[in-house]
Amino acid sequence: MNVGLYTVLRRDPQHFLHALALVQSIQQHMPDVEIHQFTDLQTPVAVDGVQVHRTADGPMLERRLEHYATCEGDWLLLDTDTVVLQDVRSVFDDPVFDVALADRNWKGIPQGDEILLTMPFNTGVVFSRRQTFWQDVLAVWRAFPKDAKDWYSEQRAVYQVVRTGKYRVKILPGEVYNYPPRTKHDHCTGVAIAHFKGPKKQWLTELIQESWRVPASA
Amino acid sequence: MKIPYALTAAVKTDERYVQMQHAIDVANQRGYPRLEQVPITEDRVLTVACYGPSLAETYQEMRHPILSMSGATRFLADHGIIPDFHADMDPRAYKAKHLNPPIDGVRYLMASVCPPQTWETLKDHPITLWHTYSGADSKGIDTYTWVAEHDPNQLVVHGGSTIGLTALHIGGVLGYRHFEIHGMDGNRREDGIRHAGPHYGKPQNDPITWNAEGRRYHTSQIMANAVAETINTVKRFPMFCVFHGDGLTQALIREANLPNACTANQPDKAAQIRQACLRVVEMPLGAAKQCASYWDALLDILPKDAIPELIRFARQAESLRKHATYNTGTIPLETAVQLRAVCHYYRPRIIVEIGTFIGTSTYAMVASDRLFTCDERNDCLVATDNVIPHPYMGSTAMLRALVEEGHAGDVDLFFFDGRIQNADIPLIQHLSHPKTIYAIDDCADGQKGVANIKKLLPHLQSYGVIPPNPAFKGRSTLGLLMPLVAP
Repeated sequence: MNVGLYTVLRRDPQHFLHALALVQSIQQHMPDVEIHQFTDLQTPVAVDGVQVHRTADGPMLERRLEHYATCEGDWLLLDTDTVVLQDVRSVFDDPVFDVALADRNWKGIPQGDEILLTMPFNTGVVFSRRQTFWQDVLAVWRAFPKDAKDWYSEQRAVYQVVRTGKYRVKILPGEVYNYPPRTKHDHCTGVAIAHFKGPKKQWLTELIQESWRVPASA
Repeated sequence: MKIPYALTAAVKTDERYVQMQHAIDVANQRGYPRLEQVPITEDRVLTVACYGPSLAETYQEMRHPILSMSGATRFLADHGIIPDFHADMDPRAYKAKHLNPPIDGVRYLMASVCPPQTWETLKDHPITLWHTYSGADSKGIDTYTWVAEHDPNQLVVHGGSTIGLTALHIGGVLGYRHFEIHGMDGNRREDGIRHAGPHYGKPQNDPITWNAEGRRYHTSQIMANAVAETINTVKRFPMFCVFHGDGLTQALIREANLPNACTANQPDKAAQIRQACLRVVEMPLGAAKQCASYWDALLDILPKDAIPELIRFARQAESLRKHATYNTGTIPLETAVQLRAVCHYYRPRIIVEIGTFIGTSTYAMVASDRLFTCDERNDCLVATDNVIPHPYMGSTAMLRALVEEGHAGDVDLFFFDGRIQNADIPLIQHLSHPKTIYAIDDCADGQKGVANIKKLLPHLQSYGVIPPNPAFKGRSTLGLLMPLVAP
């Protein structure tokens, strides 16, 4: 299995910090997997040993989909604000899916009808086997009018492709594979992959820096 | 502020270019001067007269020079005020009616895009020609390229969707930064009136309202867009504006509470704004055009490989915590990155740091000669060739020692992560020079950084505060006191 993460360092160093922590969490729980960093021409390599794939600067969503559309075979594609907490390679033991997506059925975090109707899967964690799935998503995304290419447009494009019925889609429980921690110090019991999305990114940033601390003598 | 409506231009760019070519031909034939940039001086004020209904209530407060537009020029003339300038950029033929008959004593600042009959109507009156930005034509040729080819070396004013907005930019070209703005209302009155007098434009009766200051204003798509553009323009451009009259724009200006704009019925603020002058901070301007803040510009030019290095340094610094006799917090990565960015751009030779602790900030900063740092209660850092720690030493003692060692006027950058003592002030002044930068951590409500700024700023001549980077949403509280210079 390959693991791909897209990280581009612009002005905010926290994204790079997250990428670093993600790579370390992958290495800790799945030491033998190949990790690929999809990025631009300037961003440094997160950790030595990671395979780096670079393309020129451009709109983030489009560049990320372009990278994903090169992924043939068993790939786990992760947002950089996720943290791997368990070995998840067994998901690929199931031969009968082209793409496995995590649902948004998070306990105590109700999703609005609009979200559930247009983008019921959060794409921060995706298990992918078919390169053509992403090529189709990219084509759908590119066809969106300019003012529809907002931050969530990638997830809407994914769902549009899912709805074509062209691909076998496995639905994974978001509470396990794409878990948004409820508090900064959530123990994440039973969680395979935590996702510090939106304002929760700050918790991840703080947790990483707190983890560096060593006890003082006084 | 988001521009609320997507609107299509009334006249296509291809047609505009035909009218522009005609205007250029006429101008060349008759020898009309072109609009040229005049150096901006801070003490000149331009009155801008738009044609909103409130003009009728405020025109008597106007002072020359006056730049008016649309029907405002005729309105003012009818009320005994001859404007100095009239500006127009409407390409539609029927809007030229406002010019007829022309008014003696007015210089007409006419965009080349105006319809051909303009030049006949105004043939006996002084005209200055300029070009307004009109997008790209059906072949993809944008206005800058078109003007460069058809009227070489002339300015293109990219002002906005209305002449009122564009008048502010023309004012800038004429050398003004201070504006007294009348009749820029952006709404129609309850009785449906949207101008101070007769107007030849199409009615704008869209049932659109906009609430501001708890009051509902009736507006239109065109006016709402212009209002949003006005707020954005005032926010983004180095200008000082006092808006007169009662209207939607004026209400939103008050709501926005901008440092450079207010309404005439805010007398204290208006007095301040009328006295204000622009001072700028030296910063990487090349990158700034796509930056929302000073910090964005600085971070854009920081080499990206600095980030992993700073992460490594921050982790190494944490390993020194075991040596701390007084264990406290250290700066976050975001602050370290910004300190590095400051050093990367301004290249300080000598840095003085108050508050070493485990050295996260010390490692982040780069001095080409030496960095002196002190900590009253800790000894965590080992000296290097150019990092000179002063363990168990308070700020006053280190600053005094530096003065005694002959570093007066040497320090390019101070970083304060501790409280500045009263006794420190004269020593800091002694060690500083006119371009010294003061970086201050904990610049948040009730924190020591704010106290440090209050203590230091009164002793600095012509310095301004760069607040913490808003993009970091409180993750960094690093502020700067920066020397200001005239633009």
